[in-house]
Amino acid sequence: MMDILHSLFYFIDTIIFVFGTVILSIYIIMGVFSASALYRYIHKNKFIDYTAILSSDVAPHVSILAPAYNEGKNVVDNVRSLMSINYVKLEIIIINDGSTDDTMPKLITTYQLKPVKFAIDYKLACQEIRGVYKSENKAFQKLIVIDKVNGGKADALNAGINISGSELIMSIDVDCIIESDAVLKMVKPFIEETDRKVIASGGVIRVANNCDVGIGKINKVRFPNKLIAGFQVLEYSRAFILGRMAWSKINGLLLISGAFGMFNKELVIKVGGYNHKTVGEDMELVVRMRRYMHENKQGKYVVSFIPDPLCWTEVPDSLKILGRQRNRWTRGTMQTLFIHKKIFFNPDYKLLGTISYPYWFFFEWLAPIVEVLGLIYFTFLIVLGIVSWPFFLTLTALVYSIAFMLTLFSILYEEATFNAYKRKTDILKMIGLALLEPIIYHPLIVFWAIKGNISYLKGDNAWGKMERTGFTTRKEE
Amino acid sequence: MVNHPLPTLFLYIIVCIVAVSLQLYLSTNLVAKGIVSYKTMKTVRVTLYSVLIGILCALLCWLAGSRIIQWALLLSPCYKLLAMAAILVALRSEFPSVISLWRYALRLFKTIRWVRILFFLILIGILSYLFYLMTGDRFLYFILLFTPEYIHLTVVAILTLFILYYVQAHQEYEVLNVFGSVLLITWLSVFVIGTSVHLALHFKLYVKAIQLFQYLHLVLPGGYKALPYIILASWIINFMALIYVTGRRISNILIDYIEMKIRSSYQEKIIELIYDDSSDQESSVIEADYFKKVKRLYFTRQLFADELLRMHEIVYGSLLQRINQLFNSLLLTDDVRNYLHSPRWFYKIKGLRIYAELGDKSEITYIQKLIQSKNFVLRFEAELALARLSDDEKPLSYLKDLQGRLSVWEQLNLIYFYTNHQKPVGDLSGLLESANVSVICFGLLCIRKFNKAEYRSHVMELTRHNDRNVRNAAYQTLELYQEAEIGSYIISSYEQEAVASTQIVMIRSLGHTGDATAIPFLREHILSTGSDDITLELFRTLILIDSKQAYEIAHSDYSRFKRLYEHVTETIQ
Repeated sequence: MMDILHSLFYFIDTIIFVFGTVILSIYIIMGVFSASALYRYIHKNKFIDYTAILSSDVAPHVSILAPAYNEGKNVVDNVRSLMSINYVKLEIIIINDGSTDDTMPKLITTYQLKPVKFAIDYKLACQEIRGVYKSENKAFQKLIVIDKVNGGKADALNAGINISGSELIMSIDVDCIIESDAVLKMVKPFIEETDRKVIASGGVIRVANNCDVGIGKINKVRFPNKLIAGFQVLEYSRAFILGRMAWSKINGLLLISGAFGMFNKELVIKVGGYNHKTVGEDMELVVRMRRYMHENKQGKYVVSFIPDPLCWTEVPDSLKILGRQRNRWTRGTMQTLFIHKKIFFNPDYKLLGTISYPYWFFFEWLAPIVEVLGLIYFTFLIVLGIVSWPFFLTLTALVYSIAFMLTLFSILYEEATFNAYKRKTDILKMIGLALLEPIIYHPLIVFWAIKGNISYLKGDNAWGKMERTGFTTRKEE
Repeated sequence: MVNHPLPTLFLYIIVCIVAVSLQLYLSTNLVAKGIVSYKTMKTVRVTLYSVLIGILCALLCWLAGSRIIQWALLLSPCYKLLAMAAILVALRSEFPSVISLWRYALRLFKTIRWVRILFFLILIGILSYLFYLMTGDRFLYFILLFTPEYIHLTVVAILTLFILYYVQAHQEYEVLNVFGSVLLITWLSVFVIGTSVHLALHFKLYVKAIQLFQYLHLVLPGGYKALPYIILASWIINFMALIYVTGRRISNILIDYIEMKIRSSYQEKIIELIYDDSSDQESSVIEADYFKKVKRLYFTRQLFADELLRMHEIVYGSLLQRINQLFNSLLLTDDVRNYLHSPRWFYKIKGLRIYAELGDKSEITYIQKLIQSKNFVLRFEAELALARLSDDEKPLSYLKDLQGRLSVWEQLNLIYFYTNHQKPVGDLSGLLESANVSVICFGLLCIRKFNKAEYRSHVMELTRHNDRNVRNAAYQTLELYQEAEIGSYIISSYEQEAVASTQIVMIRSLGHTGDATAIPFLREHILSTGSDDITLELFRTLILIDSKQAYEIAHSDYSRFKRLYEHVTETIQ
């Protein structure tokens, strides 16, 4: 009996150790890939003159789709910042998704909007569009506002796609701050590829908390004051600069943030637009687009990624709001994975089925569960009194060391490339938080991921209320 | 510990003499020549190395275990004081009296935060030493050991401060900040490392570390024995990454600043050279001397070449020739050739741009090969370079045999180049006859952009091409020819066209002809077409030609037409 138990414990130990080794090895490999991709991107970009796109009538039309729900506080400033984006063939579509506050009245008054008789072609199903508005003032001729019945973000985006007259659509969150050359940089992959079709392009999202924000633009970048927001800076840096850059290099990117992404509109319509039934509509759309390309043998394609800091957003700085967000992200991931379970280890889908999807399945979804089960197993061993403490401490030290190393490398890449945080104290803060993150922040993320799993099993499909404090304009020091 | 007092003391004194001599030399160099030169980075590095060497030697001496060495360690601030005295003598013109020096030091203390931080660090060290003297408490022993290093580094800091403030008269604030950062980081690093090492030595932590590794080696099963070494390796990597991150930030600020200053001086020199017609022997000697310094280093040659090229872009006539002469005389052409033939693609691009800017066709054969490169960026830059270097009759002829697809990015950049530089695109017939569909589309784009009406027959022939994109581009190009004959041609071809997107382009082109004979065709298809997209385009075209007709149809029995008509009229701006 004891022999069987020992064999069982050994087996479980091995599983956990192998799982941990594989995940850490993958992160290290991703670090190497992202370094190579960043190096190439930085050198390539030295020779780019975006003025050529600006002055060309061959450049594609782009529609920026920005769903707005109860954004009355900041909507006027945010629309103003969108209007000052540096791109000629642009239309900005604000979709008022049944707001109950003064979002719509503010827009109508500020931008002199009047209803137009728009022949709406409902290519994608969405809630009823009550009206389409354009400005009487030629200065705002790029702006279109849609007033519709509330249906959620996915529904609002679909409505925007129905109205859009462009080849490319760019979905953003209306409360994000977009850099003025964002569209230029995001459009470039679509027009420079020759061998493959670019179906989508994503960009880096940066944390705007505590930054010096002017009217719709970042005047000065500062590291967040609050611990929670500070941890998220590191997390976003790892996820975008280390993670997505690496996936983009091997063309295995499954996720483009809903807050900032550009898509081929024709393809989005062909796949049926955004899915209303999931809270992770951004990831689900990209997976569905990729599947479509494989299933319909549409040839070589690529999902591109731009590492420039082009989009700034306010991240949750309270545990409650952050918990809700992470709960939703977990549910979104699970919904997407289960909707598209057909591609799991399916060689017909090539890299998508054999590497990208399995990675998300095992190391993005299952990892927190394995971690918690490992913790329970460890507690059980303590109770039985058969823990090898030197082994445990050595493993913990190993995991901590590599976790810190990966975060440090993402800080290093940030320093070597875009260097957004210029103050000396910012670097010291980042390094300090990197030391604390595995102890303080990571357990919280795991906890919320488990809660997300439980919510999913309970059938919870709500977005959850995201309270924002709004950007505050600070005086220059 | 073994007691070897004499040889180690001797060694330590030798090192101290070398270190202080180096620092004296560098300090006077800085005072004499100012900080604004590329040498400053080297100066900073050498200063840091000499400080670190001094500290390492002190540690080695301590390991040797002699009590005499403790007193030897106290010597290190003394030689620094000597160095400071030497600098003060050099600066005596700035500080004629002790009072003025004192006031100056006070001003430093009041105005610069990290001077105050350094001062309080020294105070802590001195107080710890006094505490030890009074109480004999061994716990503070390691602070005592470190006190000489406090003083050592503080003196270095103050020394450099005086120098920097001398230079501050020239408003070199950026360099001051950088030096301050370097010194503070050095101080902090030495404090952390020094304290850790002293603690490790005092509590024999290194022995305990070895014992821990041996213990883990025994206790850990099988393949896991490597784990402690992996942990150690990862922390060494972490430490190196930390040093790199902090060091890089400082060096980038300094290098950017130095580069800016050098470029500014080179700009002035170049303007002076190219506008100076005199053939004065003395000035050529001075020039030769000046250029010797520029030529000596790759860094300065590169900056000089960049500034020459920048000037080349904005001047004309004989000034261009003068710049080319300067390029040759400075042997910068060798550098450019090396760039072009470099294995690194971004250096190749640099070479391409320089050859294109100078109009140097000597490497044109090699450049022509580069347009077949798999590297998209390199290929594109080669295309742009060839556009500038090719003869004026058929500058784009090289595109005819292009093997890969000519991307939209390349197309719009080529158009931008020709528009910006007001150069003729020359004969486009080769492009229109190419087997490469994207090249044909580009040719048609050039016809539209540069109003090349002479290719009418080519364009009409291309409307029958089997590729949809070529047909679209051809019909779009027909907008250029606002003739009734074109309108009839489009109408007659419409029924044969099966692709909806091409039909839309055809209808749009029809609108540009302004031909009233197209009205029956438009009416007929508005009433018969089921597609909203095509109907919208038909309405747009009809409104352009005859808005009354469009209004009539819109207000006929079919409400669908009214909806589409209103959409067109209310969204046109």
